Amino acid sequence: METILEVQGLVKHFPLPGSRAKVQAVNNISFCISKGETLALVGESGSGKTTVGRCVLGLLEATAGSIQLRGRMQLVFQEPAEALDPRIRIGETIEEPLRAVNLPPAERGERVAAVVDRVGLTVEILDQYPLTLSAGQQQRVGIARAIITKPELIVLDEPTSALDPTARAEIIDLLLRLQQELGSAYLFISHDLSAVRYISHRIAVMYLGMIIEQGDAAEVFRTPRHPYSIGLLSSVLLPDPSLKGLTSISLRGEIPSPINLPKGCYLASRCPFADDRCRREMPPAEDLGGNHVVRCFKHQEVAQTERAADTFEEFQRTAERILSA
Amino acid sequence: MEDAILEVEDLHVTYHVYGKDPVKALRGLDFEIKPGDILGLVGESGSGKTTLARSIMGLVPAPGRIERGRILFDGEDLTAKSTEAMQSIRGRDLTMVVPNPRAELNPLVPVGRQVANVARVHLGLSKAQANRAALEMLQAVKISDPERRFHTYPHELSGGMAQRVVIAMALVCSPKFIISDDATSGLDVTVQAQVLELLNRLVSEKRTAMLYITRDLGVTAHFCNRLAIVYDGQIVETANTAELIEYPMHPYTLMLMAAFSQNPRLRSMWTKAGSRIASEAGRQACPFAPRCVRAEPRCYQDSVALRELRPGHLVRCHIPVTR
Repeated sequence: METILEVQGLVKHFPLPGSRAKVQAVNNISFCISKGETLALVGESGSGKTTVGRCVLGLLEATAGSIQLRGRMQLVFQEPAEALDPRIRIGETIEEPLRAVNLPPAERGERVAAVVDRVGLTVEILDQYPLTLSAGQQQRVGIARAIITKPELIVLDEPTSALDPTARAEIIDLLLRLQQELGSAYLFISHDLSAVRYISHRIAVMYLGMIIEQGDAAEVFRTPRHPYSIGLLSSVLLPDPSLKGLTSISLRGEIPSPINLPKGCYLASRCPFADDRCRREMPPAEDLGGNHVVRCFKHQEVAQTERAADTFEEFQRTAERILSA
Repeated sequence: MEDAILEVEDLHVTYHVYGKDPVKALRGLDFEIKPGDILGLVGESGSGKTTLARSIMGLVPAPGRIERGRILFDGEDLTAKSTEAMQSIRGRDLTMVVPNPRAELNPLVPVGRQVANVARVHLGLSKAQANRAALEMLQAVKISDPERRFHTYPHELSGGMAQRVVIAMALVCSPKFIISDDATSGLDVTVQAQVLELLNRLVSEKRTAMLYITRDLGVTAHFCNRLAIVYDGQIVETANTAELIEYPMHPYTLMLMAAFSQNPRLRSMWTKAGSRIASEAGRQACPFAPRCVRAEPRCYQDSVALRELRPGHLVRCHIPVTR
């Protein structure tokens, strides 16, 4: 497969004014995305996933490491209402990227109409202002603006988090369809694991600026091997009370400060498996086969104690039973 | 049967914006909550969830007004109470936890003292007694190192810790009733799991009743023992959690559930494009009809009441789903 984006050893530290300390937001991250593929970066607030996205977009200068992009890139923001200028008509907003690539005005109108249709909106909205649209429609406008230049890569930063559940599902469907039609690769940054499970081919779980587990999405969801991934996945609550406690790792406390990173494994203070070695040494990235990579000394022990169960897949059975009435 | 601690009867709340049509946010809400109950109120943005929370607290912002209905708390009608009377109830017997905990806390006062102040004002404790009560509460909400954290300021705490402080403030007077308005949705999932567990334990230990307002059907299925689905200011379906999840009958409930499905076929069975009609003029007899996959002409003509279609399971629909 042709690689669209390759990130090698990315580091991003923010200096703290008036102090020698720094916020170590991203600490040595490597990943790549192939043509037409979706890689999800998941993690909680403070994990550095948004900083990675901003470095990829060139909005932040990396402290170290390399980022190679083959092709064009666009982005879709989290808060659709804030990402659109309230004083600019929708039509102009969608057209703007075409001006940036110097497309002659005669061709722009046609492209705008085509892209509006493609994201499931009607041309009537072109004369409207963002405030008159629902959040779901606003996000469609954001997506239309991103795909109009036919970029090879789209960075989606929490595109579904601000939406109601039904609108969220529609946007995910739209993104899947557009990927099939246009073949763009997605870097999907999200803490919304339902959306991630549905949309991504591969997944990278971040914790304190490091990728602690990476692999094929279905495999990581079915057999997560890092205690943090398991804790994260078992915290997801789907509308079926019987799906509680399929996995049993509960993480204590909260994420440590990225200013004073712990020695050894960053999760050790919260992890039920941690021993002295975990508190002393940083575990290396270990390939378990099939590009499933884990940074954990205890992954074999974790594999023995945790029974494999993909809550999302289990829920599909519930959904089938209840919804196909 | 135990008496309900909170009964909401036929509650109507309307916002009268000058120069515009009035917006009816709540259009006849009825429900009750018994001690030890956690009622999950699920609805999308704009369904009236927050207006309900504010109505119960006596804090409907102008130009909003309670037009009709009663809110009986411990047998007394809150809508008839004076501002002063509400102030003595609010924070003591009746408390609320809101999202964005850091905005809720006073940035200039150490968090322990903020919790203690609630106890001093409402329970008339001395400073020393109130400090002791606050410290115990910080321990109860599992704030690590509570003696030290007592003296920290809100900006020094993470979002999860700040939310625990707000919960400690809400619980320090052992209230009879707690409203959580989207209080855990801003938290990370692993922290949310901890906070929900904590709330669950505190509520069941003290037999506090709770109204848990959210748009996330998934969380309520695990956390609440009863559910009420709200659409456009009305309850469209209510039952105990296991019953409602296993036998959803209102097409809107099925649409909410379908949003969690990853099967496009199942989703398209229950989802129709379109969005909530916000204007009064555009509202149909059944407000959900324009988005409903089962809508018939009568749904646009005749309004429909909540009916008990299975034991304890009420649905507001002409053509309820059965299987």
